[in-house]
Amino acid sequence: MKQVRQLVVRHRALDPTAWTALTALADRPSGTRPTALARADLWEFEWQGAPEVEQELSQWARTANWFANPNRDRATWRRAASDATDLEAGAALASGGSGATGTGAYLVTTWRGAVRSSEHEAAARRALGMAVRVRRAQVWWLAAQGQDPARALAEAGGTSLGGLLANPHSQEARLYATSLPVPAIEEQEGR
Amino acid sequence: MKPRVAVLQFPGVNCEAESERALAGAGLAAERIPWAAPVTALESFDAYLLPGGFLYQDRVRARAIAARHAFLDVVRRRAERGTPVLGLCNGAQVLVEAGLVPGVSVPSSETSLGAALAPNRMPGRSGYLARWVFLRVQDTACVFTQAYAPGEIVPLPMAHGEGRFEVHPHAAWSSLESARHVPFRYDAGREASQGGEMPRDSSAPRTPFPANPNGSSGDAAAVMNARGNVLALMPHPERAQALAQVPLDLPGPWGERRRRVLREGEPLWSAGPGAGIFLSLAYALGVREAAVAR
Repeated sequence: MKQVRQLVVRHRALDPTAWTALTALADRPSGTRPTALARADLWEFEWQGAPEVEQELSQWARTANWFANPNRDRATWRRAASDATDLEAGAALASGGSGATGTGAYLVTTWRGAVRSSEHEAAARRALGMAVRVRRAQVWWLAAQGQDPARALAEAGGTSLGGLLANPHSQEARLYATSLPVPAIEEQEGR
Repeated sequence: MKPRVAVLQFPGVNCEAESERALAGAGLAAERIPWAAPVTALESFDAYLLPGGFLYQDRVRARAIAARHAFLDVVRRRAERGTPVLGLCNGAQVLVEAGLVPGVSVPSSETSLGAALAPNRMPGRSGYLARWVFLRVQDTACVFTQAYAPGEIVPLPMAHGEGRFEVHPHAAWSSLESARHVPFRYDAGREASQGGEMPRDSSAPRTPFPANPNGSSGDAAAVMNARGNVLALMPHPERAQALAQVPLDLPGPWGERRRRVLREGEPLWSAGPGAGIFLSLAYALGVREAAVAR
């Protein structure tokens, strides 16, 4: 039976990339004004067979330095859409500082043709002695007080000129309006 | 009075000094314009150069933030009127992200064709790569290649992590090829096979790694706009403006010239393989006497 788990890896401190992107979105002459923006690396692990492997896999993914630097990052293991992402807590705020509450929307971006990581799959095989499919992406969480965050994210990840968070000529972007599902990363075929 | 070239300095740029030297060597007056200068400061220049570096620390994507700077509105407007614009490495990424190149429409599509510079695709490794590569000059109307002969091989250093030219859908790549938007292609150098059967997919790399160092579509090292006055070039000609910068162990005629310096005393600071880019620009701007000659 197919098992899928997620690791969400964000900066412990204020993420300068999220802050810069938030500033750039706020500087646009038009469009929805986001009030908070967070960014994280998103990893997905897929394997066939017993779920008992999960504990060992989770332990390895958190500590092996392949996915997260424990001195810099906070890593959150997820099994289902109802599990917390912890993204809000690290979000950059348009009003200054970091740490948001409330609801937002998620945008998952991938480089076209580079979703699976053979290096990480080989590392998992060496460490765990089993075949694990490893997918990588970035996930953005956006809140826009009094406005629709999904619409704001769609604008930010849209056309090539407006698409700050995803360039449609080389990246895929998938919007999740309310929660981040498991799995959330789509594998595309070809280049 | 020498033609004036604005060298745009965004936070994180690190090639502005040698870019200015290369422009000066070609007989042009380079003037550095920092990012916080008023936008009106850009209006009166004869050409624009966007040097390489790590603009805004490559946050979000390399070039993503700089491409949305107000300077690009001025550069775009001037480019549409024919003013030459050169982007090198990270500067090339900015021009592509901002849509100044390729700037063409796809037949049977309502949208203009956009390109992107995606992460390098290399066998058995990923990330950043720095090495010398060979480019073959294509027969195009590019302002920046007129000092070279079509088919000429130009060795230049490259150093980037996101240098793979990409269009979506891939089928649209043939539009760029047929419209001769690719003035430089990666080449295996003088040992390169001539002719041969082309791959069925025109966007597929034809030259293997490491000659094509990033898996770029159609072996493209540069893409230009339809008019030929805007060039996005990933390798660094400013780091090969003088013969002294050519490695002693580089194969081919330029390496041989560099070795000859040791034997016969040819001037070490004569023009290198990259100088032709800047001399071409100078020629287009009416300069007939450059400090260096090819």
